[in-house]
Amino acid sequence: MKGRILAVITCILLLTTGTPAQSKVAIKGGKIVTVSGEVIENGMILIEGSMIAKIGKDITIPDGTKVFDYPDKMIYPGLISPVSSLGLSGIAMIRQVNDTTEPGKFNPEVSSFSAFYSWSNLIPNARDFGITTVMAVPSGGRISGKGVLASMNGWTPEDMFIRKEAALIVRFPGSTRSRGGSRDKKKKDDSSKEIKELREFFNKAHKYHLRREKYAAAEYNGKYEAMRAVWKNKLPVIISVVKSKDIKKAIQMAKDFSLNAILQNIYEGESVTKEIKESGYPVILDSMYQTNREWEDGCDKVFRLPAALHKAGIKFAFSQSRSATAFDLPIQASRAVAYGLPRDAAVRGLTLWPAQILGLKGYGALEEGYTADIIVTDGCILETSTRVLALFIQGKPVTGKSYFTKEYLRAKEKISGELK
Amino acid sequence: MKKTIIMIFVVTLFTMAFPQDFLLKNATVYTFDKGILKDTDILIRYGKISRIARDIPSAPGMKEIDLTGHSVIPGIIDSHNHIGLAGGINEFSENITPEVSMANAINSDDVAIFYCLTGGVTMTHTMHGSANPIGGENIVIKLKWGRPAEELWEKRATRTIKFALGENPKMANSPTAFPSTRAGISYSIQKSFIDAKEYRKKWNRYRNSLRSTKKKDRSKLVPPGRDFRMEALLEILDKKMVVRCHSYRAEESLELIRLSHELGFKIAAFEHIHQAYRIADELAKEKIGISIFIDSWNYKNEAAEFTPYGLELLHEKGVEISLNSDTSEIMRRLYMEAGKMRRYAGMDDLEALKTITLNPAKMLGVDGFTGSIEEGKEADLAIFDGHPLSGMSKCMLTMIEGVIYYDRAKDKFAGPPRKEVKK
Repeated sequence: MKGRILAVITCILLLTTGTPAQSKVAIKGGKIVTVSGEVIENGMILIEGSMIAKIGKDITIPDGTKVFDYPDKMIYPGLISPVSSLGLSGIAMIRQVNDTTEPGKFNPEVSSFSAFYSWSNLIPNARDFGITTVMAVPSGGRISGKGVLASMNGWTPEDMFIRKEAALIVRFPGSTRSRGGSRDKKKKDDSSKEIKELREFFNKAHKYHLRREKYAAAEYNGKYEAMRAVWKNKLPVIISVVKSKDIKKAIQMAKDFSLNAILQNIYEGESVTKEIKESGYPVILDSMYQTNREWEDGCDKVFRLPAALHKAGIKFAFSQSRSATAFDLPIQASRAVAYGLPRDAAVRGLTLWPAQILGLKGYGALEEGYTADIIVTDGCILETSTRVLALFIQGKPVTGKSYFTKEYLRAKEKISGELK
Repeated sequence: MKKTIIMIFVVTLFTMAFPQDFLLKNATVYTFDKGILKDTDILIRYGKISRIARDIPSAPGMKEIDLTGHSVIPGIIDSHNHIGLAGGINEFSENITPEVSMANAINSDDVAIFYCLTGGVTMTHTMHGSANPIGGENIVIKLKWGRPAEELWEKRATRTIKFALGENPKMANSPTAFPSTRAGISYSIQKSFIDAKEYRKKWNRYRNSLRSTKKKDRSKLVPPGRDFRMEALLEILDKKMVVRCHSYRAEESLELIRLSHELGFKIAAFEHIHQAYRIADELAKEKIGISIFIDSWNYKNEAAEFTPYGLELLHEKGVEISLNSDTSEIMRRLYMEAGKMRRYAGMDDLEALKTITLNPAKMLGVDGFTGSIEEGKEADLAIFDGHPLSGMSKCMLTMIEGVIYYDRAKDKFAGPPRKEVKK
């Protein structure tokens, strides 16, 4: 009888508190890089559920808290890769395992979440190097489709999704890339025609949106319907653009259609920082592993860009779109430091800024109320020698071994087949 | 008057023949025999490293460079790329083409040479492509940007020949052509060397019969036709050329090792070899080096099984490791790739640095005069404004044989500004 009463009482208690008591985890570290605030020496992070409950130097640990202690180690927020093909593409050369690119020019209705492969080998691999959040995006055409924001931990795709439709990807028509400085005069630059076409599509989509707002019974159009989120929900529009004159045109278009725009790539951005700053649009950089396109660019043009943007007060994020080497993101960012970008700005460009640019609140920094995506390293995250020793995603320690680690262990023990 | 003219002539000749002497002051110098030396000077005379010590006194005519806060490393050697060539990296027309040589296609105007210099690279192993099971002869070039082609070719290096296994030679052909399988590739290589041995026998028979025939009858003997392909193959069998073999998978590499024993050629290194970690013991036993990308993978099927942590196994077993760019943009950040050796293989700074300097130098047989900072070696140096294995540093100056070929302070652009060509 007594037992039954107890059971009833606990049931009531559980019901009143909503869910069972949240799991508590504490992480101690030698140096906590909060990103949004000061660096905390010998500090601690207290996690409740998936969130950071407290962070600081003197925190009393509640009973039943699991403590992870990393003396002399560094703690960072998880890295965010804002333009990636993780989960969408496998071996680069094989079409069968690539789901990034559709033929055709305007594909706003194509959403990458519907092809996201949560069991990809490449996901734990990237995670092992500190990447905890990615935006997997489609490519190709003028409007490639919509990208999905995903956390790097989970079983099914649904487990991983943070936001299923996180941005519209637009590849702005530009004068064709010319490498090594060849300038073919016969090949006329016909980008203006293409820009007109793109603007027309936006125009029609916008008109469609207004019509549907007014008359629910207005005729349905799949492509235009997919565009409505741009105005209805202020869906971010990532506009990839290379040349300086095209950057200006892209900004103009974004203003004309009052888009929540993010400029991407902007290889020639250095000469139009004023215009970008005035537009208020943030930037997602392309890979720092690019070759020069013109002689006159100078051999370090691509590495100088982040520092130039920083100086102009433009918010930017680093990116690395290749899925297999997604883990190289922080090393790429380190290159900008060699050419004048302060170290802390480089770290921000890997964490807080991509989160803010993508409108991902509560990510990219170690602060109370932020999602507990945390990585533990044995050195500066930008250093080529640094290893990620442990990571926590949404407050939970990640234990799954990556393909790289499994493969290493198999070769070490010379085990054919799976490990014990 | 005459005397002074002669004097001026002699002095000009002297200054033309020998480069400027340099005194590099207060640098952090990465040596392999004496470790990392702080606040150290390097004296460079007649294009060679003449002295490494603290507080070397300056002398007239010597150019002093203060390198406080900078590090000096040996000029980086890219152990596998295809730069400085006037097109035609692959001899596609046939499968077995050891008679062709990259030495006949040097293009000293290739802007990639300059890009290499901006990353501290002073020497590259410029190779034939991977379309053929047996490709052409490779060359080693020093990146003397702006000098004529013949000055770039480093003839003191060991002669190497390119072999290739796996997907590339399989796919270079139309699907109906031979070889289209790894087995076919193995057979192509085997058959070529058997043919070469037969060719040698033919010539030996002819030479023997020359000896046993009376002088007046000798003109009646018909010599066998000369075949440059066979002669190149014989040079490989005579170890005048060593094999540098493009391979990805473990089993095809083991198969080539087997063939090397059967036929008698020497494999100096496997190129790319993503699955080397599976055969670390075999590679160590055979003393075969590897020339690899550090962590670029999964770009094609045979590159999809790989782990960079395998480098730890290879390093432990004593396999000589060198890094390469294969001509991509990697060539100007090889120092960063070497830096990752510390992360993946647990190497220290100097061991990691060797993978882009001394190790490739040894594999190419140029370690007698370059590949490390030692007194008496040629002044092939790269100067960085910080730690030379960190992405947060950059190359400031690149020097070959005591001549500055890249100076970041002066060379703002990738090359001379282009002029519009009028028609």
